[in-house]
Amino acid sequence: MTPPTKVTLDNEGALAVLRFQGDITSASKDVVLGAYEQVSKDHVQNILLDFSKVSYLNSSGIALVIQMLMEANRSGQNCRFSG
Amino acid sequence: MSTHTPAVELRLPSRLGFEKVAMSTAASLADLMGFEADRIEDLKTAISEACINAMEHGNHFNDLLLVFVTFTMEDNTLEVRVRDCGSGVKNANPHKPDMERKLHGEEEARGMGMFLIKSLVDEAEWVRNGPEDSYTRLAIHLPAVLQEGSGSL
Repeated sequence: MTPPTKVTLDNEGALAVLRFQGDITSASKDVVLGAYEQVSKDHVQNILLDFSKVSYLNSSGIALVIQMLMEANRSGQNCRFSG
Repeated sequence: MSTHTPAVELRLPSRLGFEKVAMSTAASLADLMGFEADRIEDLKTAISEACINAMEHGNHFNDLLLVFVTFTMEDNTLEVRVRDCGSGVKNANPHKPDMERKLHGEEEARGMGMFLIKSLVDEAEWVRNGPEDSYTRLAIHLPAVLQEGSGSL
């Protein structure tokens, strides 16, 4: 019943931009964490998370973002937010 | 004009997504009462979290069990009760999330709903009525300056 989450990934050298669209809820787990998995841990140092087109983010969605940040932290990548 | 307290009730399936029905209803009623846009957004988020908790923890996403959301419009207060078929929460004092600890995996990533609810509304309580009946009660109040000019519904 929840609209699907969409994520696009743009790589610009050592920077990766993940642009999220739609709702981010517990139903978005595979899409959100799957998108991060597509980011190269060898070549990407900085990740920009763009939430400007997210219409609804609840606490379960925030928890998914935290999980993504944990993974990035473990890989020594820096994350910044937009939107 | 009638003097009884207006109330609206929703019956929601225990399925993610239907919390948005409660959010839009809350927004419409709060707007009718004269609440400001930021306060309405706070209420919508709190109600969303309360409904999801009811669907997930109270009714275990069982489609046969409903979540009852009752909105009561007092003169200066909008009260919302979100009722489910669970036994309710044992600890109604949510701890403040520690983002640093969460980022280092020392604290669960989830578990922020009750804290958000308590932070966003003027009153929040979790009531246990029995093994299959519990509810979350939320309320927001109009600021004094708006109360003087608010009309009766």
